[in-house]
Amino acid sequence: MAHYAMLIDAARCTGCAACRVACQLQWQLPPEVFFNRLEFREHGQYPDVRQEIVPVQCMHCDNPPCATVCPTKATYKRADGLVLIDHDKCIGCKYCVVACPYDVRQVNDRGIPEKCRFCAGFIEKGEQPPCASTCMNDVRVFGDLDDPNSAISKKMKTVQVYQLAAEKGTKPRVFYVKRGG
Amino acid sequence: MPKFERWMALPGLLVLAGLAGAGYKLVYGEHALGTTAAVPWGSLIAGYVFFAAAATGVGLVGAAGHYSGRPALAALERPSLFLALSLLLAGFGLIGIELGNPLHMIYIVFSPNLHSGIWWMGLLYSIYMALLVVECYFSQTDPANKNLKFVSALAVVNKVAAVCNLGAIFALVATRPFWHGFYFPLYILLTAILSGAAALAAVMWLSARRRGREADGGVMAALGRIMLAAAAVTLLANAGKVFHGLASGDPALREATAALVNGPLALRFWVLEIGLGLLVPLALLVKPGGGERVFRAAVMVLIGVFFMRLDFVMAGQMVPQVVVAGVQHTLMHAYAPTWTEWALIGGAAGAATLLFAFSEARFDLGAGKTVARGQSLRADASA
Ligand code: SF4
Ligand code: SF4
Repeated sequence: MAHYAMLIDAARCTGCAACRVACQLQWQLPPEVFFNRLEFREHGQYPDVRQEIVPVQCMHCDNPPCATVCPTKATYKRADGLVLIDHDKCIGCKYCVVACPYDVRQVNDRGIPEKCRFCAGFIEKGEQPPCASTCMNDVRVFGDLDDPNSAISKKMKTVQVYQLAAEKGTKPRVFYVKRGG
Repeated sequence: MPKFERWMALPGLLVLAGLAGAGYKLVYGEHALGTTAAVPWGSLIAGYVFFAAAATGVGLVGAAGHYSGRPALAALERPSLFLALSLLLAGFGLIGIELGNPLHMIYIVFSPNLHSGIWWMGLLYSIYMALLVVECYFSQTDPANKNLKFVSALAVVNKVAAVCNLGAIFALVATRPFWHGFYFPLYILLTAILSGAAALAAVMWLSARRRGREADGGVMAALGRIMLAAAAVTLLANAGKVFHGLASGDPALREATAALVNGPLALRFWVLEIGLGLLVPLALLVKPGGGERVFRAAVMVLIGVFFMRLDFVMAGQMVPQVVVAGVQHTLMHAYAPTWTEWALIGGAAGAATLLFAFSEARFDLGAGKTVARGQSLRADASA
């Protein structure tokens, strides 16, 4: 069984937002709905200031509060790690939107929450999610952590990683490369 | 059908406005609401909590009549059943319109998630409604029936569980520190009793007036005492919550509390929630007096508790979550209810009023003791 995850090297991000547009095209989203976003963080004190751009999307948590609160199991966790939404079962209560600590869920015109799907349906065919393949700087590496030869497994061995808001206990499957300083 | 009376024009218009709001929401979906991805729960959720909790409070006060053996409270037994049902139906209507896909609720049965507070809410409030229907039926067919006593006992357990679980829906969301913890399930139970007693007092007074009578002084005095006690404890609970929040080491809780007492919600909190909803009613109720004073206090409490629900729902979501440490885009998330939301809430209030009026006309609610207008109520007030 695959064990999908993503590794993001935020220091390489230029902020061009091609990932966001590629994802919107992939899923034919209207302009105001997006599954990934960029957060801009400043470091240091003037005049020694640096900016870091941190891409954020659904973390496909291993302990997803969105799935715990969903009354109908419309939000569910797949064995391969993906957290998905079954639109047919969703009552549109938005409890999952309230419960997600990463603010990644948006509600579509039909009252159903949407978020990054880790490109379910495409990745099983061996395709890369467009947010990863479009990026000119290889900020994202997506793949199967159970496969020791996958690009993500190899890279995870060479870097130190951290997760966003790890203290919330959500066990995200999106990892970030830790840099000194 | 009840005959049309002039006063019914107001709730009737509210229902029409509510229907317009419902139509607008049906056509424009989420766009009809002021909610956003950052503030996904708005006034309709607060409104639902208001109606569902008030319905439970009415039921609990009515049950106190059943078990306390006090004649003043016993007169409330039947009206409380029908009023609770009216409020609950209004609340269900409101949440049905709020939900993106109410028809998918069938999956609550076929794909249940027992970890979800909303799943339990669906179960417990459906049971409450079923028990209310049965109780209403027994109250009409055979008031002395043992079945009614049995069903009422079951209903008390169900009511406490339902309203505490309603609080737990918020309290279990670990990502929202203002909601999180054991406080809210208990607070909502307390304020459900407050708003339940207020709703009963308002209805008992108005319904007597409608018939050109004065409401029974003993009944009004008993309801006044319940409101007085509940409002006093609510005030203390609020003070505790505010002090605890402001002194908290968790910045998100501190900021949410500050939003309430000294930020965007402060005007509503101090003027409507604390002033109009608690302090003025306390001042009115602490003095002995007639039914009219209790009625006025009741109306103020109801308005105050509505804004209490709204502020609670808002304060939990206004402080932005820290996703990437060191990044905060905005100081506070903004939200304001749209006309659709106000129309729907008004419509629910109008519908609850008309439903109760219909029940009064159609069924025997025991009408309680009333006295001809102008006669002194003081003599009754000791009941
Ligand atoms: S990031 Fe949010 S939406 Fe995604 S799995 Fe975690 S809690 Fe759910
Ligand atoms: S909005 Fe849909 S997916 Fe989210 S908790 Fe409610 S039913 Fe589940």
